[in-house]
Amino acid sequence: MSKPEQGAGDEPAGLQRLPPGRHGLPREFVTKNQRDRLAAAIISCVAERGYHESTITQIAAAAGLSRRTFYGYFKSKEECFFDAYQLIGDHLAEVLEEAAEGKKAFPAKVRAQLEALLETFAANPDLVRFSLIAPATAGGEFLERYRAFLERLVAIVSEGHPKTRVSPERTEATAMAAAGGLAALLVSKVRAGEGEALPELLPDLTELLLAPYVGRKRAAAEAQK
Amino acid sequence: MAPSRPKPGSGRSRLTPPRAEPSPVKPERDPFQDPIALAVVDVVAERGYRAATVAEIIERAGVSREEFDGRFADKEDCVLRSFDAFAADWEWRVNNAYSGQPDWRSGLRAAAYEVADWMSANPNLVRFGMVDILEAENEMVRVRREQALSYGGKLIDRGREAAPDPAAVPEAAAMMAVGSIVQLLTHRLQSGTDPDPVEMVQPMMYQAVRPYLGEEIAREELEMTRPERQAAIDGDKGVSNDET
Repeated sequence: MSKPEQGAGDEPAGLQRLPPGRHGLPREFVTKNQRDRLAAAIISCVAERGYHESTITQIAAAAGLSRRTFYGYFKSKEECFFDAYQLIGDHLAEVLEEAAEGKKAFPAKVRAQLEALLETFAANPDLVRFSLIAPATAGGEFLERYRAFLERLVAIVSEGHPKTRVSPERTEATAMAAAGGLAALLVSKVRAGEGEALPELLPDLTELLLAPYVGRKRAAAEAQK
Repeated sequence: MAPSRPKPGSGRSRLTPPRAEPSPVKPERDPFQDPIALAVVDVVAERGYRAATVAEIIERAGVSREEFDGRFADKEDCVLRSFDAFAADWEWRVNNAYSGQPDWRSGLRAAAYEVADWMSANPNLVRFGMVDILEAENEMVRVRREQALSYGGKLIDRGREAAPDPAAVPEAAAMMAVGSIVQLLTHRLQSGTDPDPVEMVQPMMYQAVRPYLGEEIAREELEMTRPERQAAIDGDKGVSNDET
């Protein structure tokens, strides 16, 4: 049943397979390497075929691993998906936090974070397909993960927002709604094959996301910078 | 420099005759009178798209397999065509409600309440159209769903004409508003309790109006009540499934 690890199919970009045989690399390195490769593999498979049409055989092959090795890490395709989703969430959180460094004013911070987010997605539109499109087609638990994913990013972007005259619950709902709007725009661009043009959305998004917090005028001024 | 803002609470942000576009037509076959369309919604909403079977759909609909096969190629075809019929009904109702009001904001509000009533009466349809149908991973289904949503987006984007400075409204405003509204609805669906769509009208209107008329006016929408229905104004000529 299991294929030799070096006999696999397409390799996810940027991820090197380990040399075959006894390579003498530390176990932690091998584990991390293989797990990262499986994450990259499921991202590219799901982005290309959709969640339901992606099989464990394809994912393992794309990672250059055997099905047996896959099952050494994950009980199911679903578990592998959630692991990759967590990795993407961690990565984007890091990107957003780094972008915020040194930005004291809230509008400048949000703009820098949006810019970093758009550039990250533009560099790899598969991340949009995997993290923003696939959960809706997979349903159930995936939708809950999607919401948690958005909530996490929203919390980072809205951190330090000025007080609004709207109630805290309403502010939270507005932030989540804005995240939904942002996701819809990213998805639409990527579906249109314009993933690399995502950074063009920066002025519009800056204005639309900032306006509830700082007013349209200031939001528009920040957007035009 | 910028034109003066419309008076808050005036109900009219500007005297903009609302124009719905494109003008939808009433579906030839009323999906609410079609047992198969109704059954597919219920079965998919209850069991999920993948688990739902043709056998369950025809049993629920009380029709024969022959009748099903005479109309549909398979489950996927049935889902797509049923969704299409409900989406057309949705667009037709939205257009009627919108067109019966004197300005963009009240037109949009009337349309939102019309949709909310439609959703309240058919909770499974909400789940079916918003969430379950995406599981089909069918390109035609996805495109049709986006068409229905973008119809709402076009009405929202009429706000550009009502905006103090139309050119200053970001191009992405309507899509962002639609995405925000979808997020609000799915968030409520996921939270376990079925959303009361009527309760969602005010926050949805807030999302839709804000990019065009600004925060102050949008916030008024959080308090605005339902506009008088066109049915009452015109002597009960409102939208009904039974009308021709």
